[in-house]
Amino acid sequence: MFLLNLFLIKNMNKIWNFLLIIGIVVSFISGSVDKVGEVLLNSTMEAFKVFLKLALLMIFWNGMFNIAIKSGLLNNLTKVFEKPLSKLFPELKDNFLNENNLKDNSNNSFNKEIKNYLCSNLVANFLGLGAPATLAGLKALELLQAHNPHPTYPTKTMVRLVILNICTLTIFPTTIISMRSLMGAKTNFSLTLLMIITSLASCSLALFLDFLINLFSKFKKK
Amino acid sequence: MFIIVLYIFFILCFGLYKKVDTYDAFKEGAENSFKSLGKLFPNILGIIVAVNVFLNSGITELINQFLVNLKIVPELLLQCLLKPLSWNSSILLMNQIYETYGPSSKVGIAASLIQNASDTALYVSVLYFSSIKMKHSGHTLLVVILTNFAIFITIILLFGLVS
Repeated sequence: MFLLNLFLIKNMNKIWNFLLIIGIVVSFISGSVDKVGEVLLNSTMEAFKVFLKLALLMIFWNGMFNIAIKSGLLNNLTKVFEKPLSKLFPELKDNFLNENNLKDNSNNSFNKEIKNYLCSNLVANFLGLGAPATLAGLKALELLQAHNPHPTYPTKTMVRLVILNICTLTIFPTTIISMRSLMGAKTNFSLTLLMIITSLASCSLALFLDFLINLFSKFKKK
Repeated sequence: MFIIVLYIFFILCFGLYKKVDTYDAFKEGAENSFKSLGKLFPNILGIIVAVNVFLNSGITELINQFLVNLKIVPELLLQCLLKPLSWNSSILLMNQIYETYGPSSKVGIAASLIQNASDTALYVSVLYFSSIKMKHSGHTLLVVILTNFAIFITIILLFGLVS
């Protein structure tokens, strides 16, 4: 999997080359060279228009989110959601203590700290707050790594944390609604609901697959 | 629309309740994000050039000649394929779909849903695992990419975009 990772990262260059070279070669064959030349040169303006849209949205939303961060909204909501969310990480309760040879007391406090970071990571993701979510997630991962019995390989909890950060459950899809509004389209309530349902489906499917794989590897060991 | 206004109202009220200087906080956040914008433009420019050349080269006509049955919108297909690899390119394709087909068309709505379904698999997993110098990523990418494609295919089939 690491190899796949590295392969893909180095290959953003290759993807770029692929798209451009295939595009140009095909345009020679299909005889649309003129169109491609036009598109190549006009792309800069188009890129600038998209950049302007995205940039202004990002500035506005980051400003808004900073109010939420400064007011401690995140911390308050984390407290509310701590209990239901920690059910997503059952290992942190019991097995986790046995995996390590540290004293019970210190472990308990560590467990609490990790849980706190994990929950604030998830809650920030619900709200669509990208930067604080990443910060909390990285802290949680760092603490989990400190307690990792096999430091070269990620534990189940770490994998689940990253999966949850990719297939996130977003309740406020701010970017997309704003993009749509800039194009002059309204986003009615049913579409918003549909977006939330999609992200819920994606999140639960990912968790289910993760659960299945964990179950499978347990059987294999036995 | 309603949910956005409600969300902003909620953030403001909570800020006032906690006695935060809301305007100063807003300015600070906006300023911070202003600094990181310089990196965004070259990314967008590079990807938009490549995607535009690819889509306008007549490759879609070629593909349609060979696979007559698969009448999926080419932008949407490319968006699905690039979604796990790069955030910039998938959001650019969503924008192109909005411009050519309209945000409220079937394709536009499907593109919105696909964009919203998940975060960028590759970027996030590399960001997280490289922060602790982990060389393996377990079954993360397998799970995430399977999920992504299952969701994309479901959306496309539900909207009847393949004939």
